[in-house]
Amino acid sequence: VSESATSNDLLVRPVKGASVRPGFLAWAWDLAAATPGLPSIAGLLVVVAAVSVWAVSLSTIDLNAMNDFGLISVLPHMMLVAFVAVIASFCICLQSRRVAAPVLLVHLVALIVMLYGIPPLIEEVPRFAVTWRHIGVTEAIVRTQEVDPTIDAYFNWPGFFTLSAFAGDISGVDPAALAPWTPVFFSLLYLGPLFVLLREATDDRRVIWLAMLIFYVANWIGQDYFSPQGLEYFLYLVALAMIVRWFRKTPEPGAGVQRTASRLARRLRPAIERESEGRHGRTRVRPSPAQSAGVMAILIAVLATIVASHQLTPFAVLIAVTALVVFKRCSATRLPLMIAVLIGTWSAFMAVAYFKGHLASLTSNVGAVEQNVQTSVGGRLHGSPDHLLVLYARLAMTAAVWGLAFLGAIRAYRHHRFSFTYALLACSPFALMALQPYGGEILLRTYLFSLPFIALFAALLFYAGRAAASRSWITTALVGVATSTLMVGFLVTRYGNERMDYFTPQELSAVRYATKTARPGSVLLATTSSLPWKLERYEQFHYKVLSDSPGWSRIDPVRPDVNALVREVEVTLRHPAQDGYFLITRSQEAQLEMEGWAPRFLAQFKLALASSRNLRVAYTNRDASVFTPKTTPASRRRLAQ
Amino acid sequence: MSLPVPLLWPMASSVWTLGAGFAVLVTPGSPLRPLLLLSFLLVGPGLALVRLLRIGDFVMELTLALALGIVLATLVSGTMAYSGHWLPMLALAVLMCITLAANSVEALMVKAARQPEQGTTTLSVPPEPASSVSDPIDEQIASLLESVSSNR
Repeated sequence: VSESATSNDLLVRPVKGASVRPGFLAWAWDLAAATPGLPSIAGLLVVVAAVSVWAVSLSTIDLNAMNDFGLISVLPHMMLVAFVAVIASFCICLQSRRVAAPVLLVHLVALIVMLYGIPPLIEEVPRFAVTWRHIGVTEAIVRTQEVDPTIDAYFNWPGFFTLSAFAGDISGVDPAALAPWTPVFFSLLYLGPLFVLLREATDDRRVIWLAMLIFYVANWIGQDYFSPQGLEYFLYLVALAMIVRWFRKTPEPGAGVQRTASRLARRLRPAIERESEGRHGRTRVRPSPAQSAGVMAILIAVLATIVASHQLTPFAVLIAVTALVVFKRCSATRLPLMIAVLIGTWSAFMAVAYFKGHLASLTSNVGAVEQNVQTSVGGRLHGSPDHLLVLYARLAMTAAVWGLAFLGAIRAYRHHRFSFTYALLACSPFALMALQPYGGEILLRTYLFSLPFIALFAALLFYAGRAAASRSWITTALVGVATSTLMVGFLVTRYGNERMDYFTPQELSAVRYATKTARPGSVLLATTSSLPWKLERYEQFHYKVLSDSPGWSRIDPVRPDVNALVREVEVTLRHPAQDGYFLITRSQEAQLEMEGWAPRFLAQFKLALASSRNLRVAYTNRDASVFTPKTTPASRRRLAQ
Repeated sequence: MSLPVPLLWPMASSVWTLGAGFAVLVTPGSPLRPLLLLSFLLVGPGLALVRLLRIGDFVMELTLALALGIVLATLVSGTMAYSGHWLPMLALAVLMCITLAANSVEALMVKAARQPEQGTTTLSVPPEPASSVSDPIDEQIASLLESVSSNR
């Protein structure tokens, strides 16, 4: 890993007589020239065969047979064989004397489509309740043609939603049609900055490509759905790729805090500098002022877009860049200040409506690391036996990837291939834990922000040694076993909630009935939040969830008092307009069963609601029912007013 | 290494840009419209601007182009939404103008880069650095000049 680039090495221009940075044609020629070879051809044939088997297997998946273990409980065995075949072929291609980048890229793209593309191909409507909420925010912006910050947090950081609204409006595509494919799209989008980040870390192609494979089979977090964080993660990777590409520098003895901070870096330097070979020995030419200004302008624009689009990602960038500057690994020393000013300006002027009501709750957990971590871990560990297994698998998967990275960092250090810059980038997201629990997700987000860098160190565990050892069959077998295990872990952990995350067209029809029929100001009530709602007229209704009510925690999950719940539904729907709707869907039933509630509890609840004197069934189908208050002369008068 | 026809990209990009505009204005119901528009929004303006920097690294160029495309589309859509003037056609026109302007600048840069090359080919003797005296005739001239100056 090179730490030798200076701020003057901003851009690289082709130099006469030196093969430096090829243009598109040369790049394409390199791709073609690198392709031939028996392992490459065999690898491509394996990919074609595996994709064919995978595609045929898709039609045999029965979602209704899924249990609390998630999607893997209904995946055909042949599909698992196809995944393992692609990974095995990838590892064998890595073993080749000349690593054929295009062949590895084909493997990786195929694996991304196969791993991330299952839900859109087997499910009839977009999965995940929050996806529908984001579709609803987009619809609200297109319909109202403005951003009203008083609605909720989404309208205070609306970058992603205005972009989606604009793209959908101008192209004539309904965001709901594209939403199922966003995990595949975003994952493909991450390829570019991820490759640049890893390429700047090492010249060893085996490490680069294995790290990329580890990134995709270990990314179980699932934040790449139709969401601001999915898109902003791409910009996060781009910003860091630009910084390590153009603003990285060697630490020099400084003063004050920086001198203290860089002491550790200087101690590690002997182990670092031996890495500075290959790519970074290329001729670098001092950039023109216009080029320097252009790169900096793009970086600032990327950072500003992150700030305007998401609450957490700007802090992840700020912490990472601050760590690089403090440890003298970044020549743009004023960048942290600039990011802080961007965040402060946005918060003070554009998100003030949100901060007015939430400042106390946002700042109450600052510094409470233990409490924040506990909310992310302990607060989630409950549910049915199968679901508990999934939750423990997530913890094990996270610990395993961090463990591999830790061992890889030790091995890299011993072989003089340790990168202090990338270690900083891997560790800096942990500082986010000191900010707030982020709805119990801070540990997941920390893992996600550090994933590209821990994937690098995990790859170095296998390939930090001599070239001959890297090409041995034992190493190849170890890599294959490790990545195949992570892949199985990915299927368990990422799709472990699939029973409640997928929706049927019948559930969607029931929600559409309620949103089209309800008057503005009505209450839309559900037992839990797992349903495809908030998709239309987002700002016109009061959305409430029974499981968020104070009385919910007093109900015994094994023998729930359904009559008490019916009374709560009646009271909630009467306020304020008496024409609210209560929605019960299959996915809510699945969520409650996964969380350890008595089986068939929701069926009993539904019967009790149907027999209520104050409620009537407004809409029903196989997977959903909608209840509304019976109209009385008094309620009719109130509605008429 | 440069493209065999340096003007190929600016021309292709301009055709693509105009095609996107055509798809919206003339054939709004065409199945090509989403493909043309979404690909243009994602890559078109960003790539046109990034190419002006002459980074010379295809992967980095494409990555920055995608990022800049997203940034520009977010900027124009955010401006529309905050100003309360939701005019997607105008926003598209702004992005098209940026792309066409960047393509024009790139074409001018290509043209300007060609002119010095053409100038040097018209010279009968290419200029040599003063220190690189390697030709025997040059050496004789140099020694002659030295002797003349010493006689003086």
